[in-house]
Amino acid sequence: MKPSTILRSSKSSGNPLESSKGPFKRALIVLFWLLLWQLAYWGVGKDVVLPSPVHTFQTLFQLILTKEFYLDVSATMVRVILGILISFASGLITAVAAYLIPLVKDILSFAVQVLKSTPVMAVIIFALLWLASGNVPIFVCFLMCYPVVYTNVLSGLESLSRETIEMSQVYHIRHKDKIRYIYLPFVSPHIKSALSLITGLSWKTVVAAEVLSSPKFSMGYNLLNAKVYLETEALFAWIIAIVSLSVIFEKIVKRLLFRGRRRHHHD
Amino acid sequence: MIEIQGIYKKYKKEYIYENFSLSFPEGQVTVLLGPSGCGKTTLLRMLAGLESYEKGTISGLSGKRISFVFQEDRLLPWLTVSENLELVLRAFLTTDQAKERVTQVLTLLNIPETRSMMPEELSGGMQRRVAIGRALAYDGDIMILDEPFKGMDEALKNEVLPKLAKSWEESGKTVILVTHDLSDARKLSHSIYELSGKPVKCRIKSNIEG
Repeated sequence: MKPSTILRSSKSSGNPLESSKGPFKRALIVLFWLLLWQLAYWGVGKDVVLPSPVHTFQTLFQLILTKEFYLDVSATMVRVILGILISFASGLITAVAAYLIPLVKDILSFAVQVLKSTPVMAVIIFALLWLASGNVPIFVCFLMCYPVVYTNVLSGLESLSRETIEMSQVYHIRHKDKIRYIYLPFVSPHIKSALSLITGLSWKTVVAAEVLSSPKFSMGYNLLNAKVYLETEALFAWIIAIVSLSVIFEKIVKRLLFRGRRRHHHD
Repeated sequence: MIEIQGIYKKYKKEYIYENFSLSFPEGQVTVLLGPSGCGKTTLLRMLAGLESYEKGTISGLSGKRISFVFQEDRLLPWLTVSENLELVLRAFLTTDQAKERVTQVLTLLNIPETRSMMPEELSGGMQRRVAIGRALAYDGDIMILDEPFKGMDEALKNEVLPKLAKSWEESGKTVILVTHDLSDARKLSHSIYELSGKPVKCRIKSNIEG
């Protein structure tokens, strides 16, 4: 697909259904799921197995009012952002190196393939042996997100046609102009797609790693505590907090990434 | 004078050029004719340094800038027409000079209105003219054109062809052109060569004084 086509399709924010959803319809959908939850609660009849929506939201509001909640949220958020930044920077740099040097590509392809097929839990257990508990989630996030960035950017670079490269050679286009006017516009949809994918993935891996590595301040550690002490309302409340933050974070990143078609003017 | 001497070029284990020699006089328009797939494009690509060869020499090109009209337009779809043309000028012209050159070329080719249009908004014939315009704007010492009128209708071709001929005559440029059309060749060239066979043999078709 030509980059212009990708850019244009990204302008419409991806999901065609999303634009048709009004706030009223959205509220109705939320209400439907809450109702289903309440019915299931009545059906089960045990708070320890399935808490009621009312109890869960009460617990969530209590949590929000504590200072610890914000410390835990910010610690997790910092880990997510660091994980994204490290995996994005290293994925981008190594993809460019792999594109330019075939030997680098051969070496990295093997590592990326291994990383792609390794279960997250295996990575977390290994990381626990090597690193301090606070750094495990960042490392795990990096290992899970790096292959996504590397693969996307490299496939973007490799799909640039030989014809375009030859044209730039014949007309002696300067390296900086090639990067700015040929490579960047061509690869940017692939970079955006990689970033968009890893924002969701990063939350999942960071929280999973936090559950197992139990750093002092973390959302994942609170999940573990709630499970150990059978505080199911707290468990649900933390899950809602994690999912909400992850969705908001993803929406902000996507909004920043797909602000419509951006062209490189030099007028 | 650009000289090809004793060139050997293999394609899929078979020699398409074997001890092939040909020269292109400076300031003249040389046309290469021949059936599809006979190796004309490969010859142009070797001249432009885009294709390697096993043996032989190509001389008379060092330090020369080449304007190349490829068989495909090779326009960047994410840049406007004017940006596509300015891109090849950025290395040696200021932004203002580049803009002025682009305006001149687009006016010469009778498509000034396409300036801020995207390539996909143009018809095939217009895209072809933009590709020719890029080569004219670059103003290389040597101009290589591979089927430049492909996809253009007769009316359009008759509009562009005299302008190109005039521009080459005035600038005294060395032009190497591949076409299928003998009448185009006769209108434009000083010498016409016909390439055919495997390995390629070359014979002079006619000599017309420009």
